[in-house]
Amino acid sequence: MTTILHWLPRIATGVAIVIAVSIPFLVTDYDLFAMSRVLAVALGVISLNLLMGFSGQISLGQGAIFGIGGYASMLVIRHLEWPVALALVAAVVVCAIVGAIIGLPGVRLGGFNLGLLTIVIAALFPIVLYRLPDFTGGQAGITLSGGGLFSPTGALTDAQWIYLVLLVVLLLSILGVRNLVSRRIGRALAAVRANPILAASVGVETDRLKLALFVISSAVAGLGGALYALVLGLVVPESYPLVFSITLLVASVVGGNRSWWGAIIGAVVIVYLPTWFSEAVPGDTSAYLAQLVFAVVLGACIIIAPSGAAGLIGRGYRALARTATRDIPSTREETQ
Amino acid sequence: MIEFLQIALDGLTTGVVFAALALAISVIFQGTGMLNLAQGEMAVLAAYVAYTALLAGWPAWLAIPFAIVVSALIGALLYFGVVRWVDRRNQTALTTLGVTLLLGINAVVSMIWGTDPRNFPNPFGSWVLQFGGLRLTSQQVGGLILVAAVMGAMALLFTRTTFGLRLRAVAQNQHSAALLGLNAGIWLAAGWAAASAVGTVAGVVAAPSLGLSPAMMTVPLLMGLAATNLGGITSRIGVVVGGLLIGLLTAIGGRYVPGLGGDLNVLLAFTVVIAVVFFKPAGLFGRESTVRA
Repeated sequence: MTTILHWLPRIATGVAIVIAVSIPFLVTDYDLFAMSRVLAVALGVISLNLLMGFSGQISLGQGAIFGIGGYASMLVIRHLEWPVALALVAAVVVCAIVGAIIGLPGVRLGGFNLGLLTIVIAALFPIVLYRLPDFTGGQAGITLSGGGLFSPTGALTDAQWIYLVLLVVLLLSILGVRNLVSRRIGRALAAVRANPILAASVGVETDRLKLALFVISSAVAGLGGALYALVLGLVVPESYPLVFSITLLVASVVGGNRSWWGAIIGAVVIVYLPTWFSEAVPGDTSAYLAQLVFAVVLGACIIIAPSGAAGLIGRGYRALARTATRDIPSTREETQ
Repeated sequence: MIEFLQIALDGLTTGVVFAALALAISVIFQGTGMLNLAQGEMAVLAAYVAYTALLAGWPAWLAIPFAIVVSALIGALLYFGVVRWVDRRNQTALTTLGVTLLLGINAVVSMIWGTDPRNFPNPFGSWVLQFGGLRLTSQQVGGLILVAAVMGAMALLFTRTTFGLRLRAVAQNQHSAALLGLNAGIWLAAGWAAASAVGTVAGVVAAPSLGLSPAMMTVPLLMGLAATNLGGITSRIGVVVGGLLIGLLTAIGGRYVPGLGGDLNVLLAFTVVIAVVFFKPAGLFGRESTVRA
């Protein structure tokens, strides 16, 4: 029994990956399009998890960073005719630089003032886009003729190719950030979260660590944003209002901001919920109904379940594990 | 010169809206330790309530106080229903809660009244005051008087009444206040109600010139937040002065600095705030606080 419970999460992960890989051959290209969007948004949510869950910093402007990544990639493809792979690198680099610029004053401010700084960026980003029409295309934005990613083989349709590329990038990114926070840097972060003064006294360079996290988080958000733009084949200012940044926050908190699978759950919720509502409720109201549901769920999470859906599942699972192992005399101590 | 004075005057009258929002934010921050990012949205909701009352044929002198009362009730309700349940030492959770309220109230307003901008009837008539080449519209004069009246009332409430004394006691030290037999919950809710009332005035004064829409207060909110940082969030007088200064500054900057103007003035406001906070972290009027580890 213990062995089963020990292996179950790993088996579940394996099964989930197998299902994720086989999905493109089971569903229509139209559904795949929405799922590709989920994968790209999940990267944005992961970047926020890295920031909020692991370094205890808040960002209300992650949607703007996501948008900057999108614009950066589209600009270099459109005007400099860079290949897609290079455009992704460009987006990551640009966003890392932006992250450093925001992070330098940001990590010193912390708490409320960091929230304030980032919400200003989120609110100003679309305004700046409208103000620089020569550069950003203004209200019409930037479009690529027929999407950004094309299937290189006849065996896969474009939609299938896009989905698989995004899936691989997402899994690699999760692997990367997981490694990052489970090593030395992760333990240092845990110390900073628990008690910054204690952490500093044992030689953790708090500010540098937080800044590093801010930069990495922005880079991940930029990657997600660039992929999102490539999936849609366009970027427009109205995709990145302040509400979008807050919605990413919803996904992060609701999914569980210390869980990578939680990030995907969160992304599924914020991509699909508005669609479901628009099918169920006619007219403009549906979008706001979804927004209201986000707010209520987010509020409930803050108050009742701060560790989100992933936290709830984890708690339930551990409770199950305890009941199951109670009958067996010698069991391994739960280390989680 | 006349042009400069006129711009400065216009800036000051815009600044009263920022000042009112900043005052509301400051009162809530001192009470519940929360930076209420939903203050702008709450003002929008109140403005829509006033709008609905005006459309129903109510006179302005009845519609505005009605909106103030409704808004105060909503403020108290939000405290009791939501804010009270979050640990006040957890800044990240409180900030997240602020945007949660923003998201929720924005959704409710958009669902009830739609997102198309509406013409908010000017509650102060339409006359223009002229003196020495300068001009003030009825809207500016009325707004100025209304905001000044509400702020005066707040000042009296906070400094001259037992009610205000208790409010301040709870805001300053909940545990000591509890030992004196004050029920912190009720007094903090009263603080939320008072703040919402001030916010209502900001909404009603801003609506005729900005056009009533759910997104109306986004930029004024940012300006109000800049004002609280500039003046020092712990000082009620400081944030009001901060609001007026931000109004003045952005009006002048928007006119004379090329490339600025409109919503981009937020950038200017925050540049100034960052410069000031760099030298005086607690703001112009704020008290430095020390944290015990």
